Parts: sequence; structure tokens; C-alpha cells
Amino acid sequence: MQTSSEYLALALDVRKVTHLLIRVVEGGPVSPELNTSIQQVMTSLQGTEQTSVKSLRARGPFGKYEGVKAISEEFDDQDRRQLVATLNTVVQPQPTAQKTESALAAIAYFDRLERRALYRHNRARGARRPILSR
Amino acid sequence: MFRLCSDLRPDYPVFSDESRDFFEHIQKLGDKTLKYLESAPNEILKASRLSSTRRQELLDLRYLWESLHEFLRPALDADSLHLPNSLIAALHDRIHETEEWRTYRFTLFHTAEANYLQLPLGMVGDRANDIAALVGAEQFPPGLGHVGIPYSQADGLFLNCTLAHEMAHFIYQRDISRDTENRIDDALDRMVEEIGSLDDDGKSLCQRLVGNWVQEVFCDLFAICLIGPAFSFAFSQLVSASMLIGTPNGVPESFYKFSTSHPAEISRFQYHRKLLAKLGWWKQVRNWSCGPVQVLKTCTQDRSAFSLELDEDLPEKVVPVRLLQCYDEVCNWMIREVPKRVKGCRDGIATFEVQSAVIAAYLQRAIVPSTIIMRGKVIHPKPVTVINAGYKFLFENLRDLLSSIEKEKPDSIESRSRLTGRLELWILKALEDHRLLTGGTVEQ
Repeated sequence: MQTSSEYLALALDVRKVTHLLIRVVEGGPVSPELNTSIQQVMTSLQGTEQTSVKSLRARGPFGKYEGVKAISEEFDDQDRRQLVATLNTVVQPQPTAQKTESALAAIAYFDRLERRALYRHNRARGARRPILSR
Repeated sequence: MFRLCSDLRPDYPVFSDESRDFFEHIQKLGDKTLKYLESAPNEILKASRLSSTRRQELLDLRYLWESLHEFLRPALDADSLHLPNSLIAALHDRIHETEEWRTYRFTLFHTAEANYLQLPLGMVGDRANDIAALVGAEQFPPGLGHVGIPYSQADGLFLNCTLAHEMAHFIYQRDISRDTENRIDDALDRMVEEIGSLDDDGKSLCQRLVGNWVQEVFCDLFAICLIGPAFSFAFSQLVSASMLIGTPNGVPESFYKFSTSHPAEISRFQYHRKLLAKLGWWKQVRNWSCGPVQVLKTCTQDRSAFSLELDEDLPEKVVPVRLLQCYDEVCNWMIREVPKRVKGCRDGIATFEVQSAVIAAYLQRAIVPSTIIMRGKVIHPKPVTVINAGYKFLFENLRDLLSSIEKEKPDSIESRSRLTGRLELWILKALEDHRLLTGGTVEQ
């Protein structure tokens, strides 16, 4: 698959979320951008067979083939449940200290996802989009 | 890498403005990255609980630069002496006829593969912008695409007509993908409804597969709208499609296989023929006695032997034939839509009809057909006309030309190859002259 660059793109998209979480750790607010990203991730983590193909695109990078694969490879059911709970704590009104701790915990999960994407990028490197498949 | 860009002389080698912009941007990005790295240790040590994630950012930066590294040297190798510049300029001019694409430009780089390719937006522009976001540099020049050409084809014409397809990838990724993706999703949702349900892995895999196949067909259709049947002929030569004709033991299976990234060649030719017929080109070329036209005739007959050869197994519930039906639905929609998007896709047909015989007469006398006289009127044939007339001459008249030259043998591969090279130079010169004489996009 022409996925090397897609996995690198995924790693960078994850990094963008991490940046936004770092701001929360440093005492900043939960930005609308972070809120959107967290909703996208949570929908992906809770993915069901009932969603439409079209709705995958609403999940941004996490609904693309590489995002779906990386999440399913990196997170087991328990991870998924914990990460959803952690992200909920970040977006819902909480005391600052608790929000900071949740953001830090979420960053650890996102670092894992980013490393998974970089690993996949390395494995698939060299793939391009030639006019022929052979 | 930065030095390679900053040490470039302004006078030699000569690069296109697009390539210069690219090198200049890499140089600026490099300067900013060095500054970023100087301050990185302090940033990492500032907050111990964040130091791990901040260090990981350096890994991103490293991979980002690696992704640019791969294409810098090949781009530097592709100076103006090592590219078919007049063809590239003609393709730019054709693309720029459509108002919304006037800002799009392409840098070309050499590839060691005997293959043409386009670097997806996500491999250069977006990655450069990711670096810029990390290190605080300016954004990549918008509208700049990257296309790879085999280093051996630097002075060719015919095979290089496939560049139109590669340029189309950039336009698809920038402008077209959203409409097409909606169509793909609708088709796939109908399929999923029929089979009951499908998990996210399965859905995203189907979405990616059909997306990849559709994008390739879009680019083929776009290329035909841009330069007419010349693209299909070039593609036919590139994939050795003559194997599809007169093979006593059946045609090679590989032409029927859909891979993860590409549709089967037979399917691509079927859509080429459909579009050529729709545009009006087919009646111009259908009687040519040559392999590529024969291929287009042959490919309409059999659709039952398609198979999938994928990197990953399809979900059990998904039947290949049904998935291919989704692909066909979208491709048939594109046959209607692509000509609406590409301005001037029928313009070359009428001029080809009346001018190709005259152009052939000029080529028969080894005269570059940049200016021809018809009924006492001076005409500078348009690039699309010249390129397709060149192909017609290659297929139908080259033998006559060889027969008329002393010491050349019409059946000799060496003679044919040598004269084909000459023919390509004449056509490239005609394209260059057209630009000088008319300013590029001026219609004649």
C-alpha cells in the first residue's frame, strides 16, 4: 500500500493533538481544535459496525485506513476504555490539577500511537504512487 | 542538504522557476530547523514531565527531513538540459487553460525506476509544512507539485505523454478528491447495507482500495482530456500492452489483476476507450493500424476475468465482484464529470482532423511542423494536435519515411529506433516553437 507517507502524516497529526494537550498541561484552556480531535479519537476508539463508510471521514486522520489500523494495533480493549475515560476527563469541567494529570496520561497514549505510526512509516518506506503497480 | 541548495549557481545548471522555488524553500526550512535544534535542549529540560514527549518530536523532525532528503538530489539532477522542457511547458499551458488551476506548477525529478510517478501532497508539500510548523518556518509554495520521470527519458516525447497522468494526481489530491470520495462512500455504503455490516478495518480497507483505483482512472481520464489519445498510446507502450494482441494461448493474466494500489490495465483501457468515444477522438483513431488502437478495441470485450491481488485480505463478507461494481459506478460517473472540469478537452479534435495530414507531410520531409501553410493561411498547430499527429505518423508513416532514406532499412529495429528519436525531437521543437510564436495558450 502507498502508506508510508500516510503513516508519517498520521504521526504528525497525532503530534498536533499532543501539542494541544501540552498547552493544557501548561495551564492553557482546552481549545476547540483539541475538542474536535478528541471527539474524533473517541469515536474511533469506540468504533462499531453500525457506522457508515462515509462517517469514517468525519473522524479525520483517525478514520483513514492507517489511523484505523494503527489504533487497532496499538490499543487493546482495556487501553481503549481507559483512553476514552481519560479524554473525557480532559474535555469535561474538572479541577485544574485533575485536568493536568489527565492530559499527561493522554499524552502518554498519544506518544504510543505516534510511535506506532512512525514504526509503520519506516516499514512501508519507499512506497510511492507510480503509474504502474509493477 | 541545505548546502546543496544554497551553493547552487544562478547561471548553471539552469532550472525551471518551479525547481528554484523548491530549492529556495528547502534552504530556508533548513536554516529554521538549525535554529530550532539549537534551542531544543532547553525546551526539553524545561518541564521534566513533558521531556519525553518533547524528545519524541525530534524523531518526527528527523523522519520529516528524511522524506524530503529522498527527493532533493533527484530534483537537482533534473536540470533543464535533462528534461523534455517543451512538453512540460505544453502540459502546464494545457492545465492553465482551466482557470482554477492556473496557479499549479510542477517540479520534475529523475527517478531510477523505469516508471513515472507523482509524489502525493503528503510526501513533499505537507511534510515541508509539518517541518515549518515544528520549527516556525514559512509555508511551502502553494500549488507546487512533484512528478518523477525516468532519467533515461530526458529527451523523449512519446512515452513522456504519461506525465499528464502524474500531474493529474496533484490536481485530484488538491481539488477533485472530495467529490469523488463522496461517490465512493455512497457506493460502498450501499454495498455494506447489502452485506449487513462491516467493521471499521474492513470499511477503511474497502474505502482505500476503491479510492486508489478510482484515483488512477481519474488521472487517466484527465490525461486524455488534456492531450487526447496520445496518453492512452503512451500508456499502452509503457505497459507493453501489445501482449494483449494475437497471443495464441490467451492474454497474460497480469493485465486483469487489480492490485492494492492500481486497477487492472484492461479496465483502464476500457475507460480510455469510453472517454475517447465520448469526446469524439475515437472516430479519428479507430482505423489506425497499430497496436495501441488494437489494444483499445480488444479491451472492450472481456470483463469477466478480473481478479484481486491485494497486500491484505478482503473481509470475508466482501465479494470482489461487488467491490469492483462500486469502482465501476464511480468510474462511470467520472467519464461524465472529468470532461466538464478540464477546459478545452475537445478543442484539439477538429484541428487534428484537418491538420494531421499536412503535419505528416511536413514530417515526411523532416520539417519541424511548427508553422504549416493550409490554403494559403499560416497556422501554428496546437500542441495537442502536433503530439497526436506525431503519434499517427509514428504508427502509420514511419515506414514510408524510412523507405525514402538511403541506407535506412524499414524493418530494422535500429533504424526505426533512431528515426523515432528524430521524430520526437521534431515534435518537441514544434512544441517549443508554438510557445514562442503564440505565447503558449493562444489558440490558433
